[in-house]
Amino acid sequence: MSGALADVARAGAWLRMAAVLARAAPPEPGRRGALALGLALAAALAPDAALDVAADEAARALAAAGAITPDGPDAGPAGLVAALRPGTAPALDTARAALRAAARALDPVAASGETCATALRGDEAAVTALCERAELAGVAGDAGWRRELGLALTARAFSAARAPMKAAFAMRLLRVVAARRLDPAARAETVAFVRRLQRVDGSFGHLPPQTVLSGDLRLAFHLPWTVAALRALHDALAAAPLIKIALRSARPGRRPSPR
Amino acid sequence: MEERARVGDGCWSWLTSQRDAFTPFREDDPVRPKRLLAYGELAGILGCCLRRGARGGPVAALTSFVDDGLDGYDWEAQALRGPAFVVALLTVARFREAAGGDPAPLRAVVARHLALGNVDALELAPYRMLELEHLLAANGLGAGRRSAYARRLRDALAPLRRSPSAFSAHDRYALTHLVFALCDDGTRDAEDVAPRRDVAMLRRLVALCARMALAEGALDVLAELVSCARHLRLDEPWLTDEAFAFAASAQDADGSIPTFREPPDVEDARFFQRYHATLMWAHAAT
Repeated sequence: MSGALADVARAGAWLRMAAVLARAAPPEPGRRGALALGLALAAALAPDAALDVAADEAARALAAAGAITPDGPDAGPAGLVAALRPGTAPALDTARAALRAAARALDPVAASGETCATALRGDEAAVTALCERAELAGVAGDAGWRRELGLALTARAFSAARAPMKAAFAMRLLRVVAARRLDPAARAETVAFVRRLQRVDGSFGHLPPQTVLSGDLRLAFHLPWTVAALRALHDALAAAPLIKIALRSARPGRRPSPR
Repeated sequence: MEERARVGDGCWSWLTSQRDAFTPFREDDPVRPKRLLAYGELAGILGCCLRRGARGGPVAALTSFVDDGLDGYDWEAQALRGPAFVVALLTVARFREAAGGDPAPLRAVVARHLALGNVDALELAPYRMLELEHLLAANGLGAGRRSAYARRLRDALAPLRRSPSAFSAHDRYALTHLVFALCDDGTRDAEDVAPRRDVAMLRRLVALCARMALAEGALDVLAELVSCARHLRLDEPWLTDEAFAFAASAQDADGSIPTFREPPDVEDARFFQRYHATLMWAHAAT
């Protein structure tokens, strides 16, 4: 996996560049959170002094901006940043507590034939909703059905990615499979899939080739893609997936299981 | 199980009703090469069914139809026109043997091509070369070709050693044909002829590609993958039930299952749009 970590480092370098450019641009909703989360993920996977500094700066900037409102676009990322860079700022810890509360309010997804059929053939909104719940609240069911759901989501992701503009949806699905350890064999495939989408400059994301982006628009477009790719890579490569780190100690007396 | 039986019955019924369209031995047929291919594929699938012991009504009727037609065609002349035709010859020879006939004359034509070096000079896709090697062995013509088989197997597996997210449609068919050859169409364990690690990789690929085909509604390759899953002894009743339910929902009232598009001006376009998927689902259900 050394090649994958080198690619993470390249993404990290691109994010550092993006952080420098973002200082000059007016803050957009969601951009601070995405930037801080991307840098925290890159620093967690491919530790490096410059990345560490950039990740700390981005996390503190996010906390200081006053942008972390309960339903705002930075709230979720802020909770996750708090998990990767604990103790950085009280505002981030508050966001993490809100994330835990949201997770506790949900029921786990039951792995079954019906869920697998939705994963394979349901519309995109239904599959996305299923993934949101599975990631936050977990997946219930025996090992066989959990693996079956993992296979179904992986297959749906690979199928979706054959259509233009569906790679982000595919990464979302693969991330759940990795985060909830539904199908251990899918981890290597996820890493291979995400790496194939990376651009030469380290960023992720592509529009139809005739659409050439530049300047701030380019940054705004590639940033969420790059963070999404790093999240998928993190959950496939790291010992513990991000959501489990963020929810750790959410239920007193329960330790997160390694699976 | 109900849908599986319904799909199978419908497919065999339609195939039986299409005997004229499968007949390649007619004068001035503008689509004879395509019809010959369809006839060869029908013979191949019937041979599989017969070897697995399925000799019921529609299989028996179609077997008689194909077997009756074999002697009215100069297979050797066809092979002289194109050496790659030995693959079809070997398929038809196996069918003839499974149907209780004498495959020796057909095998003698292939033996002649082997002796002349024509077979080893063929340039086909790696999975097709493995298929050829498998058919040579299955027809008793594989003596002294063990190292060739091992090399063909290695070459056929090489393009599949990557994430299925990067597979093309062609790769999926390469996968199914490779599994059919290794499992001798369901009559042997793949681990008898391939390393266990490679068979485990193939099981994983078949499981994923079948689900991808189901997600995409790719009916034709889905049928082949369902058969592959059975040949590799993947115990997946959920997948099988979902696949047959999907096939049943796509099946026409006449029993056929549409897939490939043919230009509407091609003679027998409707037949050519349907025969392959229908044949594959008939096989998967049997």
